[in-house]
Amino acid sequence: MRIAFADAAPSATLTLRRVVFGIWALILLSDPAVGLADLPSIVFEPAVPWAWLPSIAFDAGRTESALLVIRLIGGGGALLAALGWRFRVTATIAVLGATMHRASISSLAFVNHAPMALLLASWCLLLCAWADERAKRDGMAGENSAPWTPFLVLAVILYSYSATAIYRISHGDLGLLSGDSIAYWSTRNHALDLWESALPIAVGDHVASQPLLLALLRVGFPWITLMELLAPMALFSGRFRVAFAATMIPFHVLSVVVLSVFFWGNSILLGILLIWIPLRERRSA
Amino acid sequence: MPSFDRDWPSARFWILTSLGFLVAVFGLLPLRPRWATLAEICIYAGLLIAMRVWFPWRRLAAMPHPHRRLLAGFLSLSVLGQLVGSSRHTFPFSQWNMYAQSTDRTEVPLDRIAGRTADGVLVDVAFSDLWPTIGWRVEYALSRFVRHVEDGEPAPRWEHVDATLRAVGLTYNRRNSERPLAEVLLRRVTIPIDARDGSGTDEVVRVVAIEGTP
Repeated sequence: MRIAFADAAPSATLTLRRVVFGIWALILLSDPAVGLADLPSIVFEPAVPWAWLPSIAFDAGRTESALLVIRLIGGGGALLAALGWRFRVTATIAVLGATMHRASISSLAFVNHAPMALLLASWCLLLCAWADERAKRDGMAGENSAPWTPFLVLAVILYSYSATAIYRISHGDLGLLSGDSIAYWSTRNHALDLWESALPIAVGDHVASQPLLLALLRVGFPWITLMELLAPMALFSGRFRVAFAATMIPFHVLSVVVLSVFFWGNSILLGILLIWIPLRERRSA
Repeated sequence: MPSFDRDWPSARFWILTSLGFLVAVFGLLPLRPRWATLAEICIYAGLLIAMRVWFPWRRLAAMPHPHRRLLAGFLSLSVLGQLVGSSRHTFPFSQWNMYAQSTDRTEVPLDRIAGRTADGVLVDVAFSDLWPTIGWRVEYALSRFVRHVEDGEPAPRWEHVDATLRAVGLTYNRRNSERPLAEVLLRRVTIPIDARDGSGTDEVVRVVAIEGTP
């Protein structure tokens, strides 16, 4: 068995930083989240770190001007971090900005999981940079820390899959596999005002009337749950990494088509961590 | 079977950490069904033991200490966030709980809105037209408030529903001052999951007057 990124070069970490912080720069500079200020306070349930502050801070923080400041500072930091300029400082600004921005939005309705993997990856990249510095200061400069940043990011992402499967197994019931649950979710998500529902490939409203598709989804659901449960194996097994990427990336694409939900952050990170970086390592070897 | 690496924290540390977790999850924030959470913890333990037995942890001995602490910290907070079960309180360590509830419903209930102008003309209002990136969140929040009312929760949730509808009306009127809305209507729409089963229903369940219309 071979652990992931055993021979990774420092360029693997640089690639991850460019992608993760580049995407945050795009999100923060382009998503105005306009409208939070239009809604009354009682419809919000502030998320951490807003929940730790007095309610007046959250009310001030969700105004358009405050959000603009958070977005510009965080987005600027993310852009500079993606370019590698004073990474630890600019990434700290970017991660704080991204966290505040997401926390503001997540205070309305619920915490959306789609960008969470990307947020956790950015925290991981930032803290790994500080850990690298600490290792150097503690006289561990001789130890090669290059493989451990992508390894830690992969571990954090894989955990989210495993946690999903464990929750489903412990809290779910057999109705998930035999009943109309999948058809219900696909119809409901398609009817919601989601951007994915508007895509021409989204067919969630037709799932229930397609018995073959429904049967395939019912068979595929336990398989996906099993792969999710075993996700941490990808840290140690090259063969499982291939199988996991071959299952999960198409699954995320299928989710857009059937369930009108796209875990774009996970798809990008899996593509980079399980396909792009290993292929580049093999070529350079 | 590989032996425990000496570099890793002692068994006593892990036992104390596990006990701390249990106290936090079961004592401080009892927000979840406890037996299901206990089953969840057992599966985590089983997965950890299986990985401990079958995988080459020894290779991780090369990981510098700061990175080990980081890995342990991240995973501990992630598991805590998962078991506590309140993503807002543990943000950004949210609970991963997608598609875990079965349902035998054959119709999807939706909460849609419409407006009525002072001269009685009905206007269709879409959440995403008012708020392009967060419109679906407003729709979701409104639906949740309505479900709470239906489930008979003691909190005065109609107040939340009315406040959301009023925000819809005022935002619409700011952008359409030439033909403002005098009322916002909450419509309960149901659609069958199989389109062959009919066309569903559409009824008005709440009307809120918009005062201060420009």
